[in-house]
Amino acid sequence: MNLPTLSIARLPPKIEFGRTQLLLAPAGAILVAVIVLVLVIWPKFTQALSIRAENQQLAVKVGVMETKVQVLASLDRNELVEQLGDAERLLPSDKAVFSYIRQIEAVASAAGVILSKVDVVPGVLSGESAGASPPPTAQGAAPGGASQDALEGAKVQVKISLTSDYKSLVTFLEQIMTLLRVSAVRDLTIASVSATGEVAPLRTSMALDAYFRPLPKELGSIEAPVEVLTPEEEKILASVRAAAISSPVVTSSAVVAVPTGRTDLFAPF
Amino acid sequence: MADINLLPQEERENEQYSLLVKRLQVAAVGALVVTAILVIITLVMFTTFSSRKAGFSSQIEDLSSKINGLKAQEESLVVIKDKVGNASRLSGARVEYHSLFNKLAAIIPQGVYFTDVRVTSGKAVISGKARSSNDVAGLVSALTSARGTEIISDVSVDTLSSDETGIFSYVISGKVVGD
Repeated sequence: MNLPTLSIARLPPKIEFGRTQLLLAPAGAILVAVIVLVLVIWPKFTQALSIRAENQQLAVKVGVMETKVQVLASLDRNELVEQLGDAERLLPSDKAVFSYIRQIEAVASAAGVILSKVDVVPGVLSGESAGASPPPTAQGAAPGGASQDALEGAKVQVKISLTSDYKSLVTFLEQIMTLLRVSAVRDLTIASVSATGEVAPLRTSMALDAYFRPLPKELGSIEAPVEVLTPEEEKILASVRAAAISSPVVTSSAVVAVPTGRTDLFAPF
Repeated sequence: MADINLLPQEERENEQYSLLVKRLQVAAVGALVVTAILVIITLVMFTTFSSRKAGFSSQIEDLSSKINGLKAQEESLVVIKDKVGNASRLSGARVEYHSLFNKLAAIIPQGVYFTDVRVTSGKAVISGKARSSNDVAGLVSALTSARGTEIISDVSVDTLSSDETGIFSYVISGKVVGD
């Protein structure tokens, strides 16, 4: 048998193009799915998670604000006004030098000591220039509160000299401490003038630091929680009110009115 | 006996290719379904959280206006709290000299008296006289005792001398506790 020896050209694989077409559709679909996942789903998902985190913070904020509204709504406005007056007696908003001197004179008179000298350099009488208080923080006095150093600046110093016996001196020192306005004794000097061994009057000089606290200029943020008064603080205010009622002369912070008007500015009294 | 694969090579390739295409199609459908599910989940999450956020925002606005309406109470309360808190701290930190003298009077010997007391910046210098050296020793012992150290610390006798009558003069210094 004679077979043709002529070589026949081999046909190229006829399904190659069709094969590629079949692969394109699923590959494209997978590519689209990946693109949607990377460019759409992932950013939106992370955005949703960040909104969720924000919501948690907002929920806390709402809780704090609701509590704040409840606390503030439960306060009696008239009671607050009275307590504000008591707090002002404890730590006035300005130096209130003259009312303090008047209180010292009243205490000296009550204790039986002779007040021989009162020396004070009030300076600018407005409290703001002397030591403005920082804005209060609702966390208190740490909230609340100001440091001892910051408070040390908000004071006016009155130097006094007095003559008395020992018992009257101790009574004076005790009554100065019980004054409604917070004050402290500094630089105390007591000298006995006895030369013969007999009991002699004591000559005392001391500096009295009378503290004051200017009003805060701004409140904390609206979502900052408010702190109600502690039982101890309410007790202090109640004792201030009781003392103010029982001894109004000694505790009065008002300056006594005096007659006014003179015809000759240089004529002696 | 080993299997004899009678299928032609080309046919086998076609079969493998068809299998690959099928698998790829299944994977593509799976990917599209998963993507669709994730899109729906993300959309639901996003919508839910956004609506909650809007709710919180409106609540905050509402509460803010309520708090602004109660501003007078808030101001009063803040001022009262600030003043009373600081007054309490200052009162607690000061030295109460009447109490200090009363405590001192209770512990010092009877044969001792003071002629001069100076307290400056927390440092106390006490000058006085004593009937005998025993009384001075008693004074120093009292000041360095447990009760004495509640009043004055770092006690030192600066001078001690006696005159022809046997009366001792002394100068004692120390640090006032709490000042």
